[in-house]
Amino acid sequence: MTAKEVAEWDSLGHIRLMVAIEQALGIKFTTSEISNLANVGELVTVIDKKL
Amino acid sequence: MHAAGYSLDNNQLHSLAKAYAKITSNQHRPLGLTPIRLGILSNATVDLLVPAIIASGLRYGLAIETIVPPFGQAVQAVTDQNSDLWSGRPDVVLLMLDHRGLGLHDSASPDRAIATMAQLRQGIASHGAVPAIVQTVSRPPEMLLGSFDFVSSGSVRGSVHDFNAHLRQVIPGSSDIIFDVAGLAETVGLAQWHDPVAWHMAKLPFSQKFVPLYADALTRLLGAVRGKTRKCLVLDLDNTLWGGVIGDDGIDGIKLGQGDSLGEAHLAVQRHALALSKRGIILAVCSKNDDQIARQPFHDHPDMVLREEHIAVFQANWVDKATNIRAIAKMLNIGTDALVFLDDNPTERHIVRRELPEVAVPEVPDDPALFPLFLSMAGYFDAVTFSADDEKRTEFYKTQAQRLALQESTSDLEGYLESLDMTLHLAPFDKIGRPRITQLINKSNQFNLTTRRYTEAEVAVIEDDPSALTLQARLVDCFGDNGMISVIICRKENGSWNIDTWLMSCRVLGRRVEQAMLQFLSQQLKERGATELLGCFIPTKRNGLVKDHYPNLGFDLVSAGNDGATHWRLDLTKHRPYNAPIRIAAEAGKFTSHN
Repeated sequence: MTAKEVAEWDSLGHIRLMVAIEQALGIKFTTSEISNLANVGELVTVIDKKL
Repeated sequence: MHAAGYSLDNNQLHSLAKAYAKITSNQHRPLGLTPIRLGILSNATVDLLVPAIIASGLRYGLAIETIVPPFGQAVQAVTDQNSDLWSGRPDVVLLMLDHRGLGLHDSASPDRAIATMAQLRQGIASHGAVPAIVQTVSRPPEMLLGSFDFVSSGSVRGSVHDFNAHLRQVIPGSSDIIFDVAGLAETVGLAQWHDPVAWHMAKLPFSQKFVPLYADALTRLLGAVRGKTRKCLVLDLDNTLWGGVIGDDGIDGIKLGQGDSLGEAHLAVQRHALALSKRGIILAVCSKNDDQIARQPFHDHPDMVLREEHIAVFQANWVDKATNIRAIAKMLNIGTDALVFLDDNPTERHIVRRELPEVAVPEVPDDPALFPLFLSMAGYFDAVTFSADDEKRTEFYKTQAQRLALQESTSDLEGYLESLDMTLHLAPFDKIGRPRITQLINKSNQFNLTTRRYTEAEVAVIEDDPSALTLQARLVDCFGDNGMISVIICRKENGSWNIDTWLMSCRVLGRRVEQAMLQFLSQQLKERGATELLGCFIPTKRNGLVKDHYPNLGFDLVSAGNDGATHWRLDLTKHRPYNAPIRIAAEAGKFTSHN
């Protein structure tokens, strides 16, 4: 799934999601990770690497 | 960092803001909230902050409407008379500018930032009675030459410091309001507060995890603008102003003052309260104690910082605290929503929250060393000004620790007791309980009918005495295990059962524990074929509290001696159950009848 497929999804929604994941899992994303994620699958891969 | 309990995280605040928006769009009646229109000028992205600000405002009874002009146009918004900002008719304008927004990050001096700020404030002031909220600037954690930055001219950190120092000069006496964001950032730590990733990514001004903290501090300030600041601090005594229980430990036994870490912690609590009193906060006392015993440290303890002259109303009695707090507010002629109640005991906090939800009750940790921090972090007394009148307010209310007569208790005590979900664990004396039983027998002064003291060896003898029926009671409630709180020794003498010793910790007074225990005791005695139970009250200087203990439980007076002792009798054949809202947990097998 990508951001384009979700109605009303915008860059601020993206930031909120990133922050919520960071706080829930106690991890920190890098600048490039936050900007370059293309879809949910990539997000899962990035999270897996950090856990 | 929310000290008042019930803190909400960022997402919860967003959900609350959504729910609130839904309610207000569906119904046009006001919700009893005080409206305030807040203009926000910022050099950062505030979209994620706005819902948190609106939701946090509800906590302070505010219906906040925000006006947010386009990103990065603070000066234009202020100077252009037709801007969205002014057409939105703000009541107050927040200048949410950090070091980057004021140009402090790439300037050799604070002069430009000071000039920009002056221009903005002037522009806002020209619109009549609209105050500006001016933020102090938090220093960025990045340094160039380390500590030397602080003194070197042209360093970012030095410039930020000078800018803040300048605000200290120009804000007082103006109609503008200071918002010490730098102080907020220092409290949580600058390296935590600043988040370069979030800034580069979306121009978020600080770490998102502090959005709730920022929003709470800001809306508290708006509450103060609307006069919602708390006016009075109501203090518990035992284990709040001093360590220990004055009624049991006595004036020599309570912990207070230098030389003892716990005593120093309680002293710090007193100092904090006194400092608040000097800033115009009224102090009152609400304690479960005998009035005279409770006042004793205020007269006679050399380490007491607080004296009766600092206390407007002094309520030391055995009536529930919600009733006393209502009386305090009435006497001071302020609303109960202007009160803050500080108490170490979670059950007292619970009943006050339950009965008077508008009273602020900080959820403090067990360690009194942290009371001042938690009390101040909750910001109940946040002010926007401090006038000579404020300073005199405590003088005005100084009524020499007045003691108020109470109306009949109106609190829903039964409902409260039910909500405590109490279980009373009863067992006869045993080896494991012996040290604590002995301690209670030798220490309890207030709720103690006969004040008979026994050594541990004597207690061991009673354990095995077939003509004695003993009870040790442990109370568990929704807040946890209160430990062993009551002891009864009953002896069969000349064919009658006689209560030799009955004592209880005052911590659990007013919970109907006595009734539950007597209920159990009389059952046990009936199984042993008893038809009556005898008890006596031997007065001391400290046990006036239980003078009417036996008549209150339905005992009849048999005789009264010249020494003030009274003897009582309960007819077990006519005695009706008390139905105390307490579950009894007792292993019947342990109470084997010897007779």
